Amino acid sequence: ECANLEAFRAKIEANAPKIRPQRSIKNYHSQRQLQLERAAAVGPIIDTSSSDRPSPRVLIVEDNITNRMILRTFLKKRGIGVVEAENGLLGVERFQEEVWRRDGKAGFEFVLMDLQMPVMDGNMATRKIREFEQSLVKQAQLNSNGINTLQPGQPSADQEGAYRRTMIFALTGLAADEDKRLAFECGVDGYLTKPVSLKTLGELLLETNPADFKIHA
Amino acid sequence: MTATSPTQAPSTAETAINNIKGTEEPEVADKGAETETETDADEFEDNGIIDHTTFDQLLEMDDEEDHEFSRSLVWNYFEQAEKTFEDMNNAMEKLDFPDLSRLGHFLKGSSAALGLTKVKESCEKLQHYGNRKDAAGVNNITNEEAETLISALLVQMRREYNEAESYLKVFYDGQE
Repeated sequence: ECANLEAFRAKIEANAPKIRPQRSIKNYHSQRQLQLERAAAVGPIIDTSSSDRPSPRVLIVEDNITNRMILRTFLKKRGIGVVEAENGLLGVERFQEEVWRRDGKAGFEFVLMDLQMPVMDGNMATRKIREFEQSLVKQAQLNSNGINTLQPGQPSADQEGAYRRTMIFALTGLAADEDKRLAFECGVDGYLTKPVSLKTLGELLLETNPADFKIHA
Repeated sequence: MTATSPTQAPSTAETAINNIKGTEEPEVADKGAETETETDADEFEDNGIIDHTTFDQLLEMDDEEDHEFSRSLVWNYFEQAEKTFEDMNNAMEKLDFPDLSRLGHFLKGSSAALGLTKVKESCEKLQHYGNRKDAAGVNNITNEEAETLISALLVQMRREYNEAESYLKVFYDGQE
């Protein structure tokens, strides 16, 4: 597994475009054209036109308006629906609304969760979401065919009526190991360090949800 | 994919996203692509005002020949910053340290998103000083020390912001 992870990381770093400092917007596009000829496009484009699945939707929980604008635009350009919340409490509410919108089967395709927010921070919001998901899992288990099919731990996505767990990625400017450890304890699946690399976010879209997204090359 | 703790082997997602940012040195500019604005911006070249690795990814999201998205982000940032500086001055008059910390955190996020390195670092210091911590956010400081440090920092931050604002206005419009 470590060898695969190292190979994946090397692939990302090898494909990262070399961007030179742009001093003027006037010469930007001519240089950009040269870069596109050498480097892969940033992030996958999500094609849902021929898919039977509904368009993917992502929840952004972030108190900073600039960051929300950037993430929203990036995801929408890739065909992904976006729901936003400016603090953790609203984030939990939006998450629960999405689950009910999907008849209790799943939440968003994934959640981008800022950690430092007013009202309710990202760690607490993540805990609340995971607690809510656990209640759904238990309910799904009870609703399955009899008590004999009760399974410990997380049900698989293939089980009829099972709830599909949501991936949650922390957005954090916090570099301390303790902060990261706490975020994982609260239930995040990974983290992106701010300022967020959009190319890395694009690769993440592909790596975490290949079954849902039909990707344009 | 199941959740992982940092004590376990990292998941593919965690490793994939764990601060994999470009650390490449920028390529040398093509001389043939220089414009008349090159001279105006040369004085900023080595001042570390803006991290183009971060900023340029915003330009990449602009539609062809239409810079509406990145421009709207930048000009929205200008409005945010002006309002925030006004709020900071008001909070400083009242020595409202928690509010100063909150305002520092607020502007830090936007500054970081645009790659405004110096402004972001100053905002981070303000966040710490407002919490009565030192610049690294580790050791405690007194209210008197916080007041002295924040007073000087607000002047510095304003100067750094003015530099960044000038740079960006030259970048987009070729003039301040």
